[in-house]
Amino acid sequence: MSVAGLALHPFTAPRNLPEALGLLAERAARNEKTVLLAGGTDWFVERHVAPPETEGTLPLVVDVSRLEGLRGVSLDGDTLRVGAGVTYLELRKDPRVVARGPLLAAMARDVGALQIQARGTLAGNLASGSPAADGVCALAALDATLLLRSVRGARRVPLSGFYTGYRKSVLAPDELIEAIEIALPPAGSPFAWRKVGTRQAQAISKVALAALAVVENGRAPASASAWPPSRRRWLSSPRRGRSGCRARSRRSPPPISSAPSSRTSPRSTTSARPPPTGATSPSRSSRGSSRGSRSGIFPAGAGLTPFGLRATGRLQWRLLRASE
Amino acid sequence: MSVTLTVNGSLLTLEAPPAARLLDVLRERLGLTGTKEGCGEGECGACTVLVDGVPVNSCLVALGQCAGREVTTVEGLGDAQHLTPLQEAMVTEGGAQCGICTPGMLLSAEALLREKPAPTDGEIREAIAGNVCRCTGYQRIVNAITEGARRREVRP
Amino acid sequence: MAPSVGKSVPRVDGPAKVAGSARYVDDLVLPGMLHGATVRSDVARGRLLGVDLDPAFDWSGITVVTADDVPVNAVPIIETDQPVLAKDEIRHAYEPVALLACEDRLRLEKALRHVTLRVEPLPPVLTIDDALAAREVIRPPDNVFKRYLMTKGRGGAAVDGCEVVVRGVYESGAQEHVYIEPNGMIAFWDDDGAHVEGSLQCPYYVQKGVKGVFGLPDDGVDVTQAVTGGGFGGKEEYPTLLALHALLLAKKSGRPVKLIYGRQEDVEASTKRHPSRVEIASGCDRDGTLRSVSIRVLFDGGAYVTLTPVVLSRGALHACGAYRWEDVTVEAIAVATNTPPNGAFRGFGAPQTVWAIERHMDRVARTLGIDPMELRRKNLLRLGDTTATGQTLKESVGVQECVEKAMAASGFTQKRARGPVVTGRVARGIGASVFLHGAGFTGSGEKYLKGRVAVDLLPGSRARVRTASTDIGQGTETVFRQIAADALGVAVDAVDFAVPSTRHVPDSGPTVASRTVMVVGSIVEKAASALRVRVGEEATVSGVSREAAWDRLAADPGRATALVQYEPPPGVVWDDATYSGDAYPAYGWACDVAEVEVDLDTFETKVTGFWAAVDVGRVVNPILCAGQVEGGTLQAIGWALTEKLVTRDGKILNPRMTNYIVPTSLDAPPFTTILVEAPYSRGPGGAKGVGELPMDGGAPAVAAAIEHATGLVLDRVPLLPEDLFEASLKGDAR
Repeated sequence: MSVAGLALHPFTAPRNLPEALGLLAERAARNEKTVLLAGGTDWFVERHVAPPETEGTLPLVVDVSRLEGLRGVSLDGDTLRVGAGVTYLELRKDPRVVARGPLLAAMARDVGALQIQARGTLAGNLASGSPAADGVCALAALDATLLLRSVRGARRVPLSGFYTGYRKSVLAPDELIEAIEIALPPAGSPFAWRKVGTRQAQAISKVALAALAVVENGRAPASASAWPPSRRRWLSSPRRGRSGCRARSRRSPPPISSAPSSRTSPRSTTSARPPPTGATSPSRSSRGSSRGSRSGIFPAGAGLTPFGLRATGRLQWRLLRASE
Repeated sequence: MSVTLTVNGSLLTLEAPPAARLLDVLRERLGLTGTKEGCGEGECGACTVLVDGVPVNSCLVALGQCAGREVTTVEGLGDAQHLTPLQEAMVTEGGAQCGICTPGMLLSAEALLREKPAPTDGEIREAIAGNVCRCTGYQRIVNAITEGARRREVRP
Repeated sequence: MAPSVGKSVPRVDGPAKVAGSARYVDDLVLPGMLHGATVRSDVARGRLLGVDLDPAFDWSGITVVTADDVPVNAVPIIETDQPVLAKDEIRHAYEPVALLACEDRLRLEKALRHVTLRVEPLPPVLTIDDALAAREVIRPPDNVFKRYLMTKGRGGAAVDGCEVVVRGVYESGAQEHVYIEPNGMIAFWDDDGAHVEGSLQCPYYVQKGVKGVFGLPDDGVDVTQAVTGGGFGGKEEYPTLLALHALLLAKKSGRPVKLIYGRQEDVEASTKRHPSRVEIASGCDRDGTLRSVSIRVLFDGGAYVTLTPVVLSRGALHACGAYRWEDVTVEAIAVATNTPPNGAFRGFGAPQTVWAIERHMDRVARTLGIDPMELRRKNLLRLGDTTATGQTLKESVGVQECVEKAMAASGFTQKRARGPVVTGRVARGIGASVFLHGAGFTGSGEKYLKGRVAVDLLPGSRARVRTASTDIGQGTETVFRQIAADALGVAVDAVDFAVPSTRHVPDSGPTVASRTVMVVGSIVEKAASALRVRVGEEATVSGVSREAAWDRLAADPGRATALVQYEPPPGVVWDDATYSGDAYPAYGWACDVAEVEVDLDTFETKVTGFWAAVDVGRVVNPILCAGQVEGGTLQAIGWALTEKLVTRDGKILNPRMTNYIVPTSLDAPPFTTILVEAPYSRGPGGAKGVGELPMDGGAPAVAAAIEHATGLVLDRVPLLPEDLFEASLKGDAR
């Protein structure tokens, strides 16, 4: 509601990363609020629905969308580095991502619609900490590591250790996400991405599933199918408030018999039809949450049921679902 | 604080709050009211403009983030007497009804055609998936963009 | 001059719209203008004890209006139960209580947070069943806004004597219009009186409201339609309230005031499609010949009467569908609840009852074990048949052709017979619906209304159409020019269309009820034809060329204009007391076929193909006409699959486009639209109405297709994945 108030926000666009970090450090030391503005796809929505802020305590808006140190995708051996300022559109169009991280490209294509993809960033998705963020779901399946930086230096935090609670993370007030690093699975590793919303674009995920198979030994898997575990109780109630996309399961599934095609949806081949995951009532929408996010999260390992996966090789599966 | 940017080909330096929405600056400071507000939260796409050729929701972009950039609004296409082939096709093929989503729709389509001069129906539908139209059922918009692409080939 | 009717003349307002130069209300700026905002209650029902302004807040430069400032505190629609601003009683959770205006929008937003309403909550009535139980009475004596009873032959009691009796209960939820331009109005006062310009369908409705509340004469109120970004019925009665609010603020502040709703406020406060429950018991022979039907229609009217009685009427009149019945009872009841008032929405009550009867036909077919389209074809109304109100259909019944064409184009028979096609975890199915929609006002409506149109001759063999029919995207400006141009024998671009403003155009009636082309268009045709004759006579009498005669008449104020009033067709008889007779002068007919894919794991439904064959009498402009069909159909698909309004304690929990979900281009199917022409002798060139018809049949066709694909029996829309899941748990499978 209060877009008129935006005009009052102090705004700055630092020229480089050190300047941005210096600014963050100064403000953190003075206990002043700072908004790191990248795609703005969350922040402007929040401002739109929020009451006017009190003048004098307005956070400084720091535009990091074009900060050189946060830009670009690079591939170093099997490590993919995605700068914090890289948009979903850049991600899905990057030939290295398409070739080596197709799961990310598939996910990026399902975020919002083009206009959102053109602005939104993975790092923003991570920093907002919305539990059903599509990007975070895919990154969890990829065991991503976050490179955090402040004037105090840099540190690497695995995604599994990033969130500490609902919209809470280990990110310090003077710190920003510089990049996301992914140790890529071998090229051609089977993966699956599936997002279920109420419509085909501009949808908030009710369920998203990212799956990746790493063939370590043996033949390529011939078939894979999976189903998001379907117990409503843990779809809807995170255990003891633990939230954030943390759930991940590593298991050695039973043998596989036929090959998955890329970017097809995982389907259950088991005879029992699992209940759908939906059950998203719009009522639960958190005000100001961005597309792709809403809802609680399941605790790691909770209630994972057999997925109808069959494999002939020794596989390591990483699975993650985001849902209510 | 002043922000310098290019709007529809003109280099401008604006004394304006940099955290303000690009949408408000376009409409209220520059009088470019062809850009519409339908929801204010990036869902409807009525406020779509191009920033450096890429469609964005101008309700989710700060003016300051456009410093040094090139912004294209519907006024930067053709005026009513000099329509571009795409605008013309939007009229003749029935792609515009009430017209409130049309400017944003055109900019999404313009960006698509710059990249893909002869898009498939599927590519068109994906390109305009962020522009909600409540009037047409989209079929005529898809037809119009296809026809606009064809006419561009003839008369770019 | 070759006729233009029948050709896809490009939309005349198109160039300005695609160039971004068309001015909608939010694009208008008046010098010294203030911005307005509305303070609303936040409980569904209560006693308003007071409106408190925070004394610590700086109120300078802020205009505050409350009920005490309203001359006559009642919005005149059908009744006068709705206050302009609530005074003592809160009847829904978004009831306007006070208005603020300020030049600075930020101060305005802040001021809104410094107004406190003292409200003593009362237990709200929130559902149809709550209302009928009448434990709390909010509309004395029994919470009923309106009740109709229609009977034919021996009435619905005859059902019990039939060979096969089938019963069903069908429900539908509220639907929000989601015109992409939210409601907005700009207002000011001067020596001539009140002026408003805004996003609206019916300038004379607004004028009536302003006259009533401020006690002004006709010429003291000037209402002008700005370019309007969609309406769909949502800007039929509701803009009157905005106009009143803007005028109250303008009057008190002495400044122009612009009142624009944000999306959330628009969804929360404006009208919705009436939620419904329809109970049907039907009787037929074993061979599928329909005999008798007994129908009970229940609509939730919301907090105030608004247009509910007429919405209910149209619902009741469409409840028997496009079929022959010998014995009929339709009882229709609209109740009051403490939800925001429900009102006009494309289809106007018919989509709810058509949904019910079409689902019921599928149920009857299933019971009899015959093909659902075979059952329908066997019982379709034909020329010479009588409808449920006893109306004999004398002409323009193209339904048979619609059915044949839609089925052939979609390959319905083969696809249906093949049964659901399951590929992996995706099931494909096909379903259809057949329906009708009465064009023009119900019963005697047009007779009372006496719609008028003026056509003026202008110099240079040009002409101008003046009518209160607004173009809200459907193409009125273009098709009226076509009709007038053909009647005058000139080119379409020689005809202008006056901006609908009550100062300049006669009252042609509202832009509603699929009446614009058929009723108002016929007056345009008549007026233009009269002028053509006048020009010819002048040329003959004066011995001058046609062009010279035209200019001569154009220069003579006494002869330049033809003002023509609608004459109802002779022989149309309607009895409001018994609810029988000729309910509508003509009906549009249609057959929809939907093909869907249902994901058997996630229960997502994708409509993969849609065929609509629609009898519109005569197609004035094929592209605009098909655009109406496709746009209306997608709204119906949205109502069927994604548009679910979730409420708790009378509050809307998803009032944003983020969570009230309308279809995108990726959700919309490719449309195949087949225009069928069974002309209506009194429509211009034979044309009937088309605006609402396509809203009626989409949902039952989609549900039938899902049912075909999955075996789930679906009697309630919307059908989100979670609703299908729920249906699967209930073991509703056949």
